[in-house]
Amino acid sequence: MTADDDLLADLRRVAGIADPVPAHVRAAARAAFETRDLDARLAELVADSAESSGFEAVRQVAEERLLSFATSDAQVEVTVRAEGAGWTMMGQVFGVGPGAATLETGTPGSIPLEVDDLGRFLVADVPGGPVRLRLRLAGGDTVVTSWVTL
Amino acid sequence: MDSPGQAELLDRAAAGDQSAWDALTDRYTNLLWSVARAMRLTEADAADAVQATWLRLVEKLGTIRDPDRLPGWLATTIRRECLALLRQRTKVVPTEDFDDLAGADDTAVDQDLLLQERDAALWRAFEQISAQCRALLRVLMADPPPSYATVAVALDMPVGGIGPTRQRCLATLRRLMAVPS
Repeated sequence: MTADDDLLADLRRVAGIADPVPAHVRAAARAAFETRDLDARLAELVADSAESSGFEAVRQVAEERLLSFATSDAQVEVTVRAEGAGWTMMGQVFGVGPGAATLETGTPGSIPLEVDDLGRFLVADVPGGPVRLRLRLAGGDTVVTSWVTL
Repeated sequence: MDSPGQAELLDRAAAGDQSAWDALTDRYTNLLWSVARAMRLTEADAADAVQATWLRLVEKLGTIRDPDRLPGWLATTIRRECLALLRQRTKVVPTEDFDDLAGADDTAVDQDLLLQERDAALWRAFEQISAQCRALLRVLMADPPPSYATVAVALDMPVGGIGPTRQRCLATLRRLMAVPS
């Protein structure tokens, strides 16, 4: 051990006191396993206006976040904006018309969504944190989107 | 990174073994937390970013071919989560200066918890060093200690720069601690 290693070991120990991983974060990490779903097909996030290559990106005001998810036979476009204490998500499912859709958060329980004939949906007061959409397609298949954090 | 059993844990988790999953999260949640805090996320946002990273791994279980790359994958994923959250929170794209990022006011630590005066002085000194040094040292503080390759991915910096920067930052820290406050 060098003197630097010793100092870093001290910092590591102090970080464990001053900035520890909260117990609920450890619990949520374990509980994430319950979202495992082998039956649903994954609609990957293919575009996210909140993502860019790095810190050097141009400054811009982003009032709305645009998300796009796609799987082989369905596409979902979602606009997210802050409203009140939560988030409002407005979106549309293209491709196969869904029979039902729900919004899942990282915690147990989900929010049912009303999807109109054109595949459009609107949900308000979504709490911050990870969310994903679960869509039951007309043919009976289930699609989940990739997680996004609001 | 020397991580015996990691391939087996991933395999078992992919097959539905909760205890294997628990072992993986126990091993790496501290790293993820350290990266999120290094990027100056508030506790609430850091919690969301860490959870989102694990949810994403659940999504990808069974598709990770090289278990040795798991720490790198986790570091990449949490970094991306943090950047997206910072942009969303501030409504302004962060600059290259970590001091401009949201959450800078949230790092005030409960000094009362640091019973030892030397520990408190160490943490105070840590909070006074440059933003770049704070970020690097905070990731290096992860427990268990991350490999330089993982740190490089988490902070998007060259692996070769980590050793020299670490040395310089720790030297600054020592100087600050030598000054009576």
